Amino acid sequence: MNRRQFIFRSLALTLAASTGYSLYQYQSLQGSNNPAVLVLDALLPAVLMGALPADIATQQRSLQQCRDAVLEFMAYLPQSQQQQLNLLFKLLQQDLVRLALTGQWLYLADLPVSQRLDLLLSWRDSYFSLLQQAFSGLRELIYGAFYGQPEHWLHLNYRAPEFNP
Amino acid sequence: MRNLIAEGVAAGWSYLDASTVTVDKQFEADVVIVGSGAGGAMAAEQLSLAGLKVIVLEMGSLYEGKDFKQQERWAYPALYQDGAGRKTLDQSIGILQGRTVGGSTTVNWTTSIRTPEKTLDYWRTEFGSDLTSENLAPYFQQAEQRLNIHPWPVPPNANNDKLRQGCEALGWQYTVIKRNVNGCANLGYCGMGCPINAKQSMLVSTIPSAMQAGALLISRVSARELNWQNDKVQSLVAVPVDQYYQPISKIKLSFKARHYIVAAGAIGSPALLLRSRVPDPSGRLGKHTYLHPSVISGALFEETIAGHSGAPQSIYSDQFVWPVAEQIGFKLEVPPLHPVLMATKLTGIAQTHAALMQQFNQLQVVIALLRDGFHPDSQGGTVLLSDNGEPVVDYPISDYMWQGVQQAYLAMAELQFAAGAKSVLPIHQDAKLYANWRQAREAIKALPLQKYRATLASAHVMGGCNLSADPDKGVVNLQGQHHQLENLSVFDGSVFASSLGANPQLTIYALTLRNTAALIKILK
Repeated sequence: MNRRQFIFRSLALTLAASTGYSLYQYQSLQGSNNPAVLVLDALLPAVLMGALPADIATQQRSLQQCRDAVLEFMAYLPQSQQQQLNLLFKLLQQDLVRLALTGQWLYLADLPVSQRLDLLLSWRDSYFSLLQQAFSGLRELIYGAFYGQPEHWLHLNYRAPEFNP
Repeated sequence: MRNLIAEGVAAGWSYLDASTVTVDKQFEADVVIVGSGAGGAMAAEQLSLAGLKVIVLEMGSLYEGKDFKQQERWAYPALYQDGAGRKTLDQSIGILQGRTVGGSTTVNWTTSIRTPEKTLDYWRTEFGSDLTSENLAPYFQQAEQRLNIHPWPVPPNANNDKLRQGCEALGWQYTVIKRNVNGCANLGYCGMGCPINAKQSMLVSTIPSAMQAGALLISRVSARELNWQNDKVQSLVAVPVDQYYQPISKIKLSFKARHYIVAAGAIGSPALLLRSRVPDPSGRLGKHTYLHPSVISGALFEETIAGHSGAPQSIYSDQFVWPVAEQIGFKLEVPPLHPVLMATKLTGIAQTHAALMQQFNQLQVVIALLRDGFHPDSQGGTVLLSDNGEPVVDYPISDYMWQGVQQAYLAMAELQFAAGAKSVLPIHQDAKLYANWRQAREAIKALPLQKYRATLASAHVMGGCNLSADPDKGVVNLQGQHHQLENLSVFDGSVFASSLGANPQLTIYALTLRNTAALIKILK
């Protein structure tokens, strides 16, 4: 395990301790060096805060489904856009690592979700358009994947009809 | 419910799913048409009925009637370009465009509007067009009869009705929309493919008719290059696409025809011509691409809106389309409200976003379609090609257009409060829910007018191969024929010389019927 992998695993586990995503995050980050997976797994619980099911096991399933749906959806984008997205995930991964290094990662064990959101919002409000794109693009990918799942419509009081079941 | 094309194929109609082809193939026809949407399919029917041998190529898959699932997670990847994730180059404007047999007509919201008189005036003045409401009337009538286009007789759903109520309260103009439907059950899922064949898209009208008359339909094929010499196209090379609609370059499908019609939409058509390096002395190929960039405003009501149910669009307002002052006009409409479409466009994150989504059925949304292309500071975007030849639109937004964005936010908020909204949320990263019109007005005036802050979307892509009587000012002539290559025509929204200020499908139908009639005289 190198320093970067350690940081990410720590990020996931420490966040999990405060938010209850432990099993999901731990399983997810085992054996994956894919920047997209690492970034999504680090961000999904923050982006979806307030929308996730209360039950822990259901939360884990929702998060996994959402991440997998994002990754699957990316295959439909043009090759050039996929390449840009993969580059973006690498940059965001580095951004997260840099935060870890400069922000004394070990102290992030109790990092409130509000500060995770601050990180995301700092991308939104960044001077760099690439980070602004990252914020809006990731947000759209994540919410599209999450609300595409019928089990997440419970709070919406919505059901898709089935005319051709 | 019948799957008309599948039944026809079983009875002997000609159809090929190119993704099943494993070796290079050659085809010959009188006319090869790239694209099966409003332009391509309408032309295919007329040409086939005239006795010409026609081949229609479509990049998307064949889905119809019983295949359609009323879930966005299925519909967007299956039926839309880039899974409904298409964006402009800087990712600041989302673009909804169909990519399936029937093109965008399979997934559009059925709004059918004749070309505005002022748009035709502009084309005549600036581009030497001969098009008038009078000389287009027979073609509008032909399309309206063919597709059963008529004013929607059913009361609007609550989402549309709030637009009507707001207009009535303020004394603003509004119109009941004409729709291309027959036997519509008012379901609200037009954007995911009509499951009961009520929408008179190309999928249930002109494509089956053309195939009945002998046309060959090939799906899942990407037209890559027109080979041309001197003043004629010699052949077209296409390749199959894989399950994610990525081109498979190792297999070639070659087509020879007397005439070639490009109808791949206002991004796909310029892209094919750019890849083919066709002559472009006007310098306008792939330029002046218009989007009707759309500004969005949400509102919460006490009563249930349930904007997912009922005809998606049944009311529009042209109150601001043609302003007297020197500012960009905009048309007011509403979109259907389904979970993914809403979740991805609403602002906020985490709890704030979740809280808005929990009021999903109380949410009403208005969109303002900016009428781009009529002003020196609104000259549209440019279709560029990536290293592997895939298109992307670079669309800069001028200060002139940003002023229109602000005007649109103001108009929509005023309208929504007039319709009884308890709060209004301009879809902008810095906006909040505002409790009254006075508060909203002051806040909107202070919102930064910048990309990524304002959420912008487009469902209408136009231009890029504009018509013009003068070869120095356009790509095609007034009959849609390429100015330099005599056996090449463009029959889709890319020939528009500006945006329309109206939803484009009926204009495409009428222009295509007119231009196909002229082409048949040449080919017969």
